[in-house]
Order: sequence, then C-alpha cells, then structure tokens
Amino acid sequence: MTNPKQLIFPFSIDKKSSIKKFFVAEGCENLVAAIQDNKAGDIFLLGGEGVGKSYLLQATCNDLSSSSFTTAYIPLAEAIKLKPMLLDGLESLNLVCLDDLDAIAANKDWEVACFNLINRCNESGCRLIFSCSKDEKNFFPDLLSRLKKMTSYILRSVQDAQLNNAIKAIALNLRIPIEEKEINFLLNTHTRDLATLINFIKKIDDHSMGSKRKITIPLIKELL
Amino acid sequence: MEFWSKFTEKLENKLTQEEFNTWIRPLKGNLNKDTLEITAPNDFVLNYVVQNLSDEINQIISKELKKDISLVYKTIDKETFVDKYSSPKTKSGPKLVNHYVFDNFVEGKSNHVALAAAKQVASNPSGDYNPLFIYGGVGLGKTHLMHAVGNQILKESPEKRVVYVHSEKFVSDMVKALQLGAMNEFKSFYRNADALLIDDIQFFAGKEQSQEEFFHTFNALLDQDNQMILTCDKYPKEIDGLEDRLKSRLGWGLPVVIDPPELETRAAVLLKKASLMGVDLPSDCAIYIAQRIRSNIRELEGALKRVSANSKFTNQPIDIALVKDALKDLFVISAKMVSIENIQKTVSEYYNIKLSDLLSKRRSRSITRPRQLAMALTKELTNHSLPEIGEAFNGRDHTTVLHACKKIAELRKEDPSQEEDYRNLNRALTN
Repeated sequence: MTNPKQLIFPFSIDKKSSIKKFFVAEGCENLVAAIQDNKAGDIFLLGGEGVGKSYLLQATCNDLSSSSFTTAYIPLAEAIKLKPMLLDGLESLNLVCLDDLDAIAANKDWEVACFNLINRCNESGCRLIFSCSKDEKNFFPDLLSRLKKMTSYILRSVQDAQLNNAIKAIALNLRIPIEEKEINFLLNTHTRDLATLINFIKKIDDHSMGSKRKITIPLIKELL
Repeated sequence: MEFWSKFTEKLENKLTQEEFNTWIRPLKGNLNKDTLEITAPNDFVLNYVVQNLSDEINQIISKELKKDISLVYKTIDKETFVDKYSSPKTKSGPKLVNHYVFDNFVEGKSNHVALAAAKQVASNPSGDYNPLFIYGGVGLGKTHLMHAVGNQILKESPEKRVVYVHSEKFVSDMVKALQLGAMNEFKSFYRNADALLIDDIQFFAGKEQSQEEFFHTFNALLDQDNQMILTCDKYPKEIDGLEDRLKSRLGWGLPVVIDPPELETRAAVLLKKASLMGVDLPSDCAIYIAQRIRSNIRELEGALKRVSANSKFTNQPIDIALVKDALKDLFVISAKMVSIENIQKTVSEYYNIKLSDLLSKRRSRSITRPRQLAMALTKELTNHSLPEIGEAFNGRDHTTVLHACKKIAELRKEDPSQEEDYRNLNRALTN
C-alpha cells in the first residue's frame, strides 16, 4: 500500500454539498431528477472539467445517506494512487459514486476492478453513478459495454445567460454577501467559467473578511 | 443504528467532505453493550480508517458515550467466507438472473444457432453438447443465454445445483480461499455442481494458478457427467494466455457464436425490453434507435433507459421528436465511433492491401472486392448518404456505391467466406 495519507485531500468544500444547492444548467433538469431517483438505475454522467460533476456526486451521497442507506464516494483521480482493492466489497452498500472515471483509462488493473464492481453491483442491487470528463472509447470492451448500458447524461456548463443567476444562487448558499453590481463587474472583467468564478468569489470573501471590509468593486480590483 | 448516525454526524464536522464520503460513509456501525463493531467493505478501507482516523473516532466515542467502549473493526472474515462456500443453503453461489430466460431472448439470424444449442442443453443437460461454449463480442447476449439455460434446468429440476460465477469472481475468491486456508471448501463448491456456468473465461488468461484449478474442476465435472456452460469473447483457440490443454478441452463440446444483431433484431430487442420495462415504445421509434445504435444490446438498453427517463420526467409520450432529443448526444458519439476513414483502414488491414490501392481506380478483383465490402459496411454502419460515401471513395458516383452494396449482399448469401469476412469486419468495427 502506498502512503494512505495521500487521500486526505488538501482542499475541502467548506459547506456541505446538497443537490438542492446545485445550480442546474439549462437542459440538465432530467439528469438531476434521475440522480435523486433511486429507482432510476445506474447513471453514467459525462461532462467537461468544472461543470460540477464532483459536487453533484458528493451531494448525492450526502442527500441520500441514512442509517439504512449506505453510500460511498470514490474520487478515482485520487484513488488511482492507491490499490484497486479499494473497490472490493462496495457492492454491499446501497449507492456507490465513482468520480473521474477517465482517470483510470488505460490502467488495466483499475479498469478490471471497475468492471468487477459493476458485475457485483448488478447482482447485489447496489446502485452506481459514474462520472467521466470525456467520452472514453479506450476502456476495454467489456467495461465499455457495461458503461453504455447505464442511462447516460451530459452535464453541461452554465451558459452565459444563466451565469448571473448561478452566481447569485451559489453565493447565497455559501453565505457570501456579494451584490448585483459586483457580480456584473466580475462577469465583465473576469473569466466566464463558473467554477473559476466561484473559486475567485471565495477568495474575495476571504479577503473581505480578513480585511473586515464589504465586498465592493475596489476590493475586487485588489485581487484581479 | 441511531447511535451510529449521531456518531457519524459528529465525525462529519471534523473531516473534509471527500474524506468523510470516501472512508466513513461506507462503514457500518453496530453498538452492542460495551462494544462498537465497525464493519468496513474491505481491508483497504479498514486499514485506512484504523491508521488515519481512529484517534478522531475514539475521541468522539468517549465524548458521546462517556464510558469505556471497546472498538472492534472487521471486514469479511474466514467464517463468513467458509460459510458461503460450505453452507448447504448456498445452492447456486451468485444468483442466476431471474429475468434472463428463453422467453425474452430475441432470436435473429445472428444468434439462432446459439439459441438452439442452448435450448438443447437446457432440455438435455450433460448430453452431447458438453461443455457448451458460447462466444462473441461484448453485449450480444451470451450471459443472457447462459442464465436462460441455468434457469430452465432449475425450472425442470429444482433439486439441481446450478452454479453461476463470473471468471473474475472465481479468480478473486480462489485467492481469498488460499489466504484463508479454505481451498477444500472452494474446490468442493464448484466440483459438486450439477451445472457450472462460468462467464467471460477470457479473464483466466495469464492467471496460471486459476487455470490450473479450473482445469481440475473442468475434469471433475466432466468425469461426473455434469454440464458446463462457458462464455468467452473469442473462439477457444484464439484466447491468448490460456494453456493449450485447456483450449483443447474447451473445444470438446459445442462452440457456438453470437454475432452482432442485424437491424430487425435490434428493433425487436428494443420492443421486447420496452415491453418488459412497461414502456410504451412505438415501432417507428424502435427502428429509429436501432438504425443509429448498432454495436451491441447493452448500448441499445442504455438508449432505451434514457428515452424512458426523459419521457417519465417530462411526462410526455415517446415519439420520434422525444427520442431525437433524448439521444442527441448519444447519436453524435455513436456516429463518431465508426467513421468512413476507420472502415477504409480496417478493411485494407484485414485484406492486407494498401489504403491507397483501396481508394485507387484499380479494378483487379483483389482490390475491387475489399473496396465494395468497405462501401457496403459504410452504408451499414454510418449514416452517410450514397453520394457522400462515393465521394469518400475517391470521388466515385453514388450508383457505384449502390452496385457495391447489392453485389456484397448477393455474395454474402452465395459465398460463406464472404459472409464470414463481412461479419468479422462488422464485429471488429462495432466492438
């Protein structure tokens, strides 16, 4: 076993994820409904970097977990540093979310471990939700065909027209007091990528609290 | 259980969300008097928790319970494993899938020989077809057929012990049995089956010890005249990494192939699966999907589930417009999978001719035939129009493409080797 400390991630999402707090991009409403519906079967979630796949998977674990419903979230991009036996026995749970499936492409041991997990979960009734950043055609055929059997959805990024509302909603959930004027300023001067924007807003919030000042355009300019 | 929920809530505040969801959520806790038993799904999670999180766990427990509690960490232990392999109640190991029966297996040209053989074995196990060896590409129904035989045998003779196992499970359980000193139970479990069903035996490749054990199991079962059914993605002799003596034995019975389903079968499969799911799928929608998704049944099932989910969540009946909307991403991906360039490259490699010759104006038979076959495959596997296909073959006219398709259709009926080439190429391109 490699150093197990590796999976203590250096970052943390400071507020507990929940699907209710997830800002749903236009056209992804069915996906979010399906994820919350335990009768919807296994799901394969495809989406580019930063669209919120990890958030959604963790939120699903958080929302659905209870004393009689056990879940696990495995970030494969991190887990690949460990051994595939991490997946052994997970079929005894009710829901397993495997994030970043593309991270294990071309790693035969991990691919086979995922393939075996799918087979075991099919027998035990454990529900699976996979996420992947790109359409991986290079998984070995037996794994690929099992992934294709799942209900697949594409998680899209929030489009320009929705960005303003998305930031407002997310800032509200994170309890970051940022107003319309400042949001518009950010959208005009900073990137329009939602994930990057949110991280930047968190930085602004830290700076605001650290300097005990309200979030204003001059304060934002200090960080740009 | 209530204590465990409260306890994990406290722990959740102390860990990062990722840590909590990865390492704590999969645990199960059971408080029994002065002992808290924490069960992990595997040794890896258990070791991680013990090494990295036991301090936090101890602290919270002391605070919450205000008394001395002994903590017991566990995963699957020898008793559980041995019990699984020796209990008389464990008749079949992993369960046969109940709904994999002959009644809902859709017969078509691509699988009718395999289906006939499977029915024969089900009605007369341990007869001439032992072992029954079903091979073919992924997601074509090999496992369904295998379970159907098992279910039929049990229906007719409920007292029989039908054991189904995936080859990877056979291998991993054998490793566990060796570690736990439970090999006798393991051997006896498989060698005393009335019918042993092993899925995807290509996974035995390169695993010598498992092959050795499987070889002896195979011999023991045949000696007792008990039925074996095996599935594989290849013909026995083509499996790399498998011992010759095993390859030879696999060919003793009846090897039957399942090929990729043709359009009519794909549409029929969709209609059958929709009916089993209680989904009202119109025929034109089934044909529309089947025309666009050609590779295997699993992908068809995935598409059907997506259509059904969209219909459910939007509360709309299924029609072509809904199908198009639900599957628009899938169709783009599917179309990208088989490109004209890929077909041309695969065909020229298969016939060992240069790609430039395939596309040239040369009219010798050795070049013309593969070219016609490549055109026919392009017509079958892509959504390109005849003029587009002609253009991709060095600016040929669409009537040339049409002629090629007709010629290949005729040759496939008349010449078995032509039919075999077509199927091999189709399989290579769609898997």
